Amino acid sequence: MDIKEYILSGVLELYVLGKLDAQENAAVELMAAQHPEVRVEIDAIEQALEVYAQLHAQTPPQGTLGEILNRVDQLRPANPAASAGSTPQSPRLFMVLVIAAALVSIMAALWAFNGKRQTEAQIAGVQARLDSIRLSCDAIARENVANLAELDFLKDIATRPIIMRGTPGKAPAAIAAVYVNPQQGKAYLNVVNLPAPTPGKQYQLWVIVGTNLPADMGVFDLPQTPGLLKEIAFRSEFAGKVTFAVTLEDAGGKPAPDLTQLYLISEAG
Amino acid sequence: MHIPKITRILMNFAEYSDKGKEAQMVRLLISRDGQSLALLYERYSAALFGIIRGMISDEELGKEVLQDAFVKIWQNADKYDATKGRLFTWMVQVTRRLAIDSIRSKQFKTDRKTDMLPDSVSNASSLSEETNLKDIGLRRIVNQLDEQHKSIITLLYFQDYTQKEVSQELDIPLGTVKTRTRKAMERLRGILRNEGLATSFAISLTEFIKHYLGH
Repeated sequence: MDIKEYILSGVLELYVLGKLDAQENAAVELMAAQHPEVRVEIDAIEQALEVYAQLHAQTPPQGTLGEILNRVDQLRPANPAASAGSTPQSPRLFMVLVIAAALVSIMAALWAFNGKRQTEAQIAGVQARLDSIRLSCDAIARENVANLAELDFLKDIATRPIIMRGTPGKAPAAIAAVYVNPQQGKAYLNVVNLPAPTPGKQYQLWVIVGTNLPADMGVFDLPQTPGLLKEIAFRSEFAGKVTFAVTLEDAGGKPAPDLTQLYLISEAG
Repeated sequence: MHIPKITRILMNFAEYSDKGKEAQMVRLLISRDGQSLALLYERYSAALFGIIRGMISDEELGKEVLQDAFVKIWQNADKYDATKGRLFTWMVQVTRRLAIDSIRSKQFKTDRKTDMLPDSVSNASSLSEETNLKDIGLRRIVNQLDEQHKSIITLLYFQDYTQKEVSQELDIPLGTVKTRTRKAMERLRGILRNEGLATSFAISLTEFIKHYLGH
């Protein structure tokens, strides 16, 4: 069929006006698909009728749009089929959302795991510090108990200090004291200032009662903390007049003192 | 500045006749974009209402049909096939089918023929134009159409007569309906083309004035 003749026949006008049956419509659509000039002609007819319709436009009553929008709003949730068909990209969007949610979950889990590890490390650190504080606290408590006991001992009016002074030839600045308490039956040595003994030597404490020979009271090391009292053996003679002396002897001490090595001695009495 | 209605329509049409813009509008409709329906209504409701009123004289019923039409267009936007024709043509088809259903359900069909059927064909065209003919531009265009051309377009387009009904109404052979429709549309297109030339001049003049005045 000649295309020009086909166009001039008027069938395209009737097609646009919707006056053809289904079979005729299909035939026109086939022609339009095969011949671009038919397509162009149909478009021109449509445009002309559209302008003509706009020329004959009549404004609808007020409020019509509002009612339409209301009806559409009511349809929205009640028409899942329509909305499903209208969003072909929704499965992809859904997948993206699922992946995003999964990523967020993993990150949150990692963050939580990391946070847990950090917290555990912190707890361990705090625990260690607590343990060390508890240990030092225990030590301080023990020291405190000892200090209080010493203080009680020194405050006791039955306690009597016997001061030893440094011999001019050996240690003129040295000073020490023995505190004796016959009521409690206890005695303490307090070395305030003695030079450190030469290697292989130790200080030895002696007690002289009356005119007797000096009696061995044992060797002692200088206290690590100056002024720390060192308990010594108590003898009943301490209640009377006694003299204390310190000599520097070979390590382990000797039965009789070397008086050339006398470092400290108390006043007789 | 007063712009004649015909100029406004053609300006508006020039803006929307672009297939790209139409496709964009359809995409918005399909995506159920909230504003697209209002936009569509603003652009097409009056033209569709004119077509409805050509078939249904009752304004209230016409309004119902118009509402049904826009709801259906909104619901079925994804069924519109741009390769088969313009958006407005499809909208007219949807609207017309609903108007026919409405007429049938209310048994208006027979009434319509007596109600709307004019004593003379020239009156038929004036029915839907009586208000709009006040517009000088529209009157100028319609006046340029021969009576027989005007009546056949009116009957087919605005009053939804079938070919057979037109042949009976105008007392012409069935085969002549097709050729006369072709002649009428050729004439209409020629008139609009001429108006279009004047319009495009008016558009550029208007744009120039707007630009000049800084609007």
